Amino acid sequence: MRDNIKGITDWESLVNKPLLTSDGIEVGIISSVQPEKIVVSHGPITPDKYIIPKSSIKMFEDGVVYIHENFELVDTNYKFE
Amino acid sequence: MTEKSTVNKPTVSPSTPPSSSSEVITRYDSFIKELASRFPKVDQRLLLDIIHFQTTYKDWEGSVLLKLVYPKDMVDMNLKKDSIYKRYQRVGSIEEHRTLRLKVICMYLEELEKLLIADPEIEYVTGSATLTPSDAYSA
Repeated sequence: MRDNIKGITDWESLVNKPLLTSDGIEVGIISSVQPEKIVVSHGPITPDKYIIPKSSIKMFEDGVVYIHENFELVDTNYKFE
Repeated sequence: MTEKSTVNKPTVSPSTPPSSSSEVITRYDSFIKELASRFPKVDQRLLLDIIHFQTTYKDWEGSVLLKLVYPKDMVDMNLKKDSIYKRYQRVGSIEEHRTLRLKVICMYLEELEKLLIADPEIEYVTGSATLTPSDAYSA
């Protein structure tokens, strides 16, 4: 796995960090990191969950994770629960 | 006559943890990495719960709320639902057009591995293991 792309050397450090789309919308908080994907949860009781490829990540800066895609694409393609 | 006490008091340094602790943490860390390597598609919390229940409670029924995530618009979810029914005799529900959700029993680590081999189209597995057997039969 490309562990040092986009300045990320420790993928586990992304857990509990917010994830923002290219249009500035917060998808949710990263709840776990899988070998190829990250899982993002949004909402307190019955959270929406998204599984997003690591390759979508644009950068990790000031405690915020940014991805290339906009929210509509994320909501349409990556939501699984 | 009095004798000098020769009892050695343990010396504890707050900055250096005992070697047992650091060794256990190192081994746990490598175990987690091995889990991720051997079961890359499975939620680690689910894996750890299954391993915990399976090894701690020998009579655990393997009751698991399973959520099988498939690639969006790449598979026929009704076919997957039928296939899972044939395998576990449980009817799952389809969520978000890509997730099959069902409660199963006898979902031990070995069975989870067999399921992943039998259905390589599964993209991600999550859910929760439950200890109480009655929960396995609820809706």
